[in-house]
Amino acid sequence: MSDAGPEKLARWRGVIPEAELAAYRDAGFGQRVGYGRRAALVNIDTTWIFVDPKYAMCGHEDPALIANLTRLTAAFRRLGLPIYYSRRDDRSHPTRRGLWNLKLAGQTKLREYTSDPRADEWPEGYAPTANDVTIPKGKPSVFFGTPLIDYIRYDRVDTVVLCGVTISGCVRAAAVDAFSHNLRVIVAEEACGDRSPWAGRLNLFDMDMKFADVEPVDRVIEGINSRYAPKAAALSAE
Amino acid sequence: MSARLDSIEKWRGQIPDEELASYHKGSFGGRIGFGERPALVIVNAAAAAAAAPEAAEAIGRLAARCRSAGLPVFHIIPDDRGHPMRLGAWAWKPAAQVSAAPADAPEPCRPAAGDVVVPANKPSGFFGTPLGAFLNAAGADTLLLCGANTSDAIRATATDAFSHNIRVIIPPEACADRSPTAARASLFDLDMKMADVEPLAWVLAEIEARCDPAGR
Repeated sequence: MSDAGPEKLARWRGVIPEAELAAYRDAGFGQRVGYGRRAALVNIDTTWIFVDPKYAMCGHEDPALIANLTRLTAAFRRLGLPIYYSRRDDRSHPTRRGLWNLKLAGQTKLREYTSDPRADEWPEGYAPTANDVTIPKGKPSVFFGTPLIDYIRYDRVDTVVLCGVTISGCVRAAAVDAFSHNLRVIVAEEACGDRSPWAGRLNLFDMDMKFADVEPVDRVIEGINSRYAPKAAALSAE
Repeated sequence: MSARLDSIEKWRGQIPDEELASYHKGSFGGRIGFGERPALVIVNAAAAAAAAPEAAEAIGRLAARCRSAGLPVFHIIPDDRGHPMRLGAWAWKPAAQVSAAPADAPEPCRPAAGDVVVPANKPSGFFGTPLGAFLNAAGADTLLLCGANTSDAIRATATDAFSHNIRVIIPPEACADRSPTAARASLFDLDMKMADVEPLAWVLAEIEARCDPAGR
């Protein structure tokens, strides 16, 4: 476990200057958190408004993101692990929008989208089913002012795999809050997206060093299969 | 079903019959029971000892049993209220003890090495504190809750724990209140709607039966 630190650092060579990486190594950052005894998938804001470029809130089309979200979701479903989906809450009243009014000039457009129910639905491939829990949220972190941590506790989950958009906004905010709640955090890299890939990359670096494990989707699927498959098998045998 | 009936019936004589009937009607008083791993949360042991020395003794027995079973023990103590801002709304409901420097708890219920002390500013041990995150780290899903006062801090902490989906079991012998009448009403409310109020002897026996000293 402790030898995974250097491996993590090496991965960021070329993105972060060598001298800066050395400071992380010397301080002991970049250790691997790993999986706990039960994982859940937290799918952050992957509704059409954020993944379909016909909406102003989506930067660019990203078919790979959709494909990765779909197979990651399927992997969690196969194992019977919980999946929580966040989407924006009702923003019709200025008070409900709060400081977004000051930071996001397109709020008039956003209000138009409230008359387009598709904006807040998900592409079919990874859409929630009746067994999943949807959490409306008003601010970047899915934990802020929501009962998510209490749902997670009820489901006996100690590890959250994060996917969705945007890495530099809501995914990062969720990672920091999950860490603060003492949950293990794994960020499924290619199942996350950002309108600025540059901002996304640097946020992944921060999270990988300090709050979470940033791992390729393949490795996450391998990880949950090897760690949680026996339990799923035992359950279905009952 | 019969356990639920019992949990309502045990209050007969303390609550008017016609009022108890409506709890039966609403199917209140279900048993929550132990989860997978309990943690002991002792609220304001100094106040408990001041109000009822026998409660302090009961807290001490509970703490000793939990420690020997390898269970985590938390102490909620009043935080520093020296600055008016730290006092906040307490200034509007003034009480002598609220702004006094926190007293030390007597020996049986004092924090031991390995216990975790969480200072809290308001009635609930969860309000603005990392208690929930600490319980996550400890893997605890059940609170054994005791201390003082039953009608304020115990009640507020139990209600928040319920809202956080954490099970709560309260042994009344290890709780204290300046008003036994107010305490009884709070224990009734909690037992009906948010927690299990169970005899100390039963709680001690359950810890013994469920938890091995290896920590689980």
